Amino acid sequence: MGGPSGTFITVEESHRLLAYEDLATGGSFIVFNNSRSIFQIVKNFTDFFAHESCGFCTPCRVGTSLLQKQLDKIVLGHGSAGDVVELERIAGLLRQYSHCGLGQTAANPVLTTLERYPELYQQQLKKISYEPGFDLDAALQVARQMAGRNDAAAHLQQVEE
Amino acid sequence: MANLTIDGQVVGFEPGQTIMEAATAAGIYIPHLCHKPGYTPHGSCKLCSVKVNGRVCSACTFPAADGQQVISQSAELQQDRRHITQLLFVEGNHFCPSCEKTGQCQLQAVAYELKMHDNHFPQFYPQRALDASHPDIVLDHNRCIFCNLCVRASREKDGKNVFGISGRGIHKHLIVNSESGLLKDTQLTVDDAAAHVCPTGAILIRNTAYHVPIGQRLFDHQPISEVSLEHDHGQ
Amino acid sequence: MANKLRIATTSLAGCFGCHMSFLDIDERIAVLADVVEFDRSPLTDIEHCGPCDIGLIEGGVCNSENVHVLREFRRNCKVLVAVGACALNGGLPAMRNAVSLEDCLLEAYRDGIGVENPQIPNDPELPLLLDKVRPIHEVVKVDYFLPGCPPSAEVFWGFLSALIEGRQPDLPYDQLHFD
Repeated sequence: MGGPSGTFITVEESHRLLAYEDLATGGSFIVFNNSRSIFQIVKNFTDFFAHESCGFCTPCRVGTSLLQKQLDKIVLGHGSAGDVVELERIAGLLRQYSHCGLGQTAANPVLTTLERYPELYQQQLKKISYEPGFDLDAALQVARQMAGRNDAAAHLQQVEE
Repeated sequence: MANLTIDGQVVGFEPGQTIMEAATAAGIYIPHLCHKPGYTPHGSCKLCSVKVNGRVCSACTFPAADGQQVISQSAELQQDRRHITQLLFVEGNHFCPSCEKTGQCQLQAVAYELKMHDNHFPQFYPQRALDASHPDIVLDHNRCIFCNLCVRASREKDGKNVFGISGRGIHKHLIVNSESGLLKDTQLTVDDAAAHVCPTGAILIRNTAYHVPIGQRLFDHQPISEVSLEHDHGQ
Repeated sequence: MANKLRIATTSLAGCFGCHMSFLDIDERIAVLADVVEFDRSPLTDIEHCGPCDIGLIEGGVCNSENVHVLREFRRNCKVLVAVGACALNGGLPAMRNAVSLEDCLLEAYRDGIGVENPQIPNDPELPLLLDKVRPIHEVVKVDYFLPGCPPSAEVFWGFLSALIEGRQPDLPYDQLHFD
């Protein structure tokens, strides 16, 4: 409801009112059927805000890009125990401290889906205490290529066996 | 005289003052980086975020009003200010041990004040340039936090308009207003306010780096909360 | 003896300056030796880390071996501590992040002044470099951070004393430094 910075609602909430007091919208609403991936929608909107941030204030300039990174980590299956908490932390900074409405609502796609589908996010997390936020093996690619190596020691597992 | 309260302390203010100005006059420190007395308020770093009657506002731009209840030192605000400082640290390339400004740097001093021990968030390690073209002044973009103080100083104090801000989002950057984009082709001189106003080590005066040894520098033994009030009171 | 805390230490992409600073606790090392025992550390020459209470990591992560060592420490240490600027944000070694790894290697091994028999080292014994130097908390979970280049002997002493006595460690203003 209300475009990318609005509120995600589920079918169970269809009794709610399109009104300033309940679901505020300037007129825009988008309906997604069950063939759509919620993560893809959230990622699309989050990428949009990282691109749209004007960069004036610290929370939005850095926060929208960090939120993008952190969401990607979870969506791509590299999230672990503390990563949703971290996502909420970044979202909270954006919402509370951004200078204007763009930053204050940029985390809404994350926050309003997290509120309604917490299990979706939790299912996406690995049952380990930590996983790096960058691709370890890809980080060796340049060195591997320049040394002409491809032996076992020239690779890294993303997570310890 | 009208009054507001900051963390329960009654503070008087003159009409037209911001919350930051009222606080400073009363000897209360509110963390800040883009604010400097005598300069047009900017309100972009967000370190001076306070709660005014329950709402988050920037103390450096928000007008003081009679009866306002301002909260500044809550555990929540201090923690979030620490996170905002960490955002600034991961966004740029801030390697204190190799920076001439260490010990005199306001970004670093604010981090100390907020008991920031680590950068917490993942580093961006952006690719940024170093402009060493000017005979007296070095501009290291790696350490710029976009506080706009040099932009304001050059326009408002020096009447020169040497600096500007360009780009948006995480790609925002400081630019130099000359055909070549280099400092050497501007009117910037070593006695300009803009050459001295940088709170970090982004704009440095050459040949002055180690006049004061590390260990004896401004913030080495005195927190910025004290230094700032002493300096800002004098203005 | 059985109740002694076990401590392991190592330097990844660091200069051992943090270890030197640790040794600046001087004769207090004798006091420490009454209550702790050192496992893997440059001070003991033990090659692999066994189960430990505290692991102190100096330096950032610049190559594949650093990743293996760091994981060995995380696996074995109840409490893992990032020590010094390089472990915290990559530090001085991370200043190479401004240059692409390809350019770094070409300059060092092929195009640089005075390079003879130019070739990129390719012995399988050698660890490969990561494209960027990273802080250790981007690779494993870290429990405490001791900033400084290096953290002073007082920082080490205060921190270890607190952990040994079961207190929450704290850094007073005079000990909180990034330089």
